[in-house]
Amino acid sequence: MQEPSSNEFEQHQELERLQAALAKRLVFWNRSLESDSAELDSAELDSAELARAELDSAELDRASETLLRKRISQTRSLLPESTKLLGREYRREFREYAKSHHFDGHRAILLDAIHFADWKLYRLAREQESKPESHKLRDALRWEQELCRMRLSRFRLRLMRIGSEVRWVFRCGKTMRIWSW
Amino acid sequence: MNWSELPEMGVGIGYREPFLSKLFDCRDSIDFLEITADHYFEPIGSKAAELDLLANNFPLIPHGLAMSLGSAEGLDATYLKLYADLVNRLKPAWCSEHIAFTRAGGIDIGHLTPLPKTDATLRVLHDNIARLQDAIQTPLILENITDTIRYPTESYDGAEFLGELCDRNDVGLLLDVTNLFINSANHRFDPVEFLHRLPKDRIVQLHFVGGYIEDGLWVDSHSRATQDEIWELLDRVVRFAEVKGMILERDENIPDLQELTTELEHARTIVERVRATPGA
Repeated sequence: MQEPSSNEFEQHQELERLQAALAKRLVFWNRSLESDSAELDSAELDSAELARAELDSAELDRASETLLRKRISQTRSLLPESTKLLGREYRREFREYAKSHHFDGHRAILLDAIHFADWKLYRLAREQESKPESHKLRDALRWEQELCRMRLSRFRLRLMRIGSEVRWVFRCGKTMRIWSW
Repeated sequence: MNWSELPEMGVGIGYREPFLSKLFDCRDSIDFLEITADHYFEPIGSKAAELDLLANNFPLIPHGLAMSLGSAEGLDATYLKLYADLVNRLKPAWCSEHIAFTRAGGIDIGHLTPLPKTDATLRVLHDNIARLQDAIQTPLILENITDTIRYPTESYDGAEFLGELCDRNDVGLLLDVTNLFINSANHRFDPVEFLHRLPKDRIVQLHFVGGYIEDGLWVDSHSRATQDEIWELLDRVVRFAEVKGMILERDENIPDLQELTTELEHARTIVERVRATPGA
């Protein structure tokens, strides 16, 4: 195998840095940089990398938006009943959730759905007046969140109180699930 | 590799779980299935049974999503092994992946991201493709994606880049007609002129599906019936190259499978008409 010339090596390094900066820009588009100086330095380097490549920030924003829409759609498919109960509010709620929760790749789809369900359950718990439909939504979120958790681990047995019933779910391997209704 | 020797696969569909219950009712309209490789890595339980059922009844083509062939940091060894295990188990006529990167700097983007069309990228692709080809004993074809991000300092245009990629590697092309159409509409170039600059003997398979327009730009949503403009371009592609297979790729807003078979019939009619009147 031919050794790369030093020029080729530099170009390779440059491409690697550009891809890393771009990945961060697309995934952590709304990251709030607080006082962490290392993070600020790293963000500055990434911005410089993207500026050097003369990338159009409007295009990058659109690409980030596409990623967010994909998350909205994927989470809907993992939490079907909960998102149906949320109705038109779902998209708005997910966008609010996404301001503080970042997504990291297709393998994290399940985690994203679990975190969104956690976030929403926390908000429901803080509501002053609990409406009857909130109970239904809370149960749907807990149940579907549990089904997502089941898909993450190899063996798992869970007992859950859903409304007035107690349900159990046993999971073995990636796809086999047995649950009580 | 002599790409013309690959078998004719016909017209098929990108398999999605909601299709399963109706799949066998629509068997006469579906010549082959493209499966998402990532969904069948180390399949056990019901997923293994599903894979066996599909493999016993349809020719399958595995289509990978996250090999990240354009990653300058190299391939993920675990993903590579899982993909290769599946391909080597199915022994398909060919397998496919994307000309894109999905991973960089320890971040999994979760989406196909365009690559700058430069020599550095071609060298990265060459190394990664060689590593993948070492792990599989199956012809590899690569798909063009939508250019959602453009790099102003590129050395090649889209058609030149695909030509160079084929010159430097023993790979075929999975021409996504919808992506070609969308790129031409969003970035204002002539898709037919682009098509005629591609190495036609390398165009093995096609993808098609409908998208939609938002804020004046076409979006590759895989969510609509194939539009007339895309059918017209598909017709031009079939006249230009001896395509071995076509796949309808519907991922969202999925209608009844019966409705999709109408689109498969339309694609089949185009192929039959073109082959009945060569040179027309």
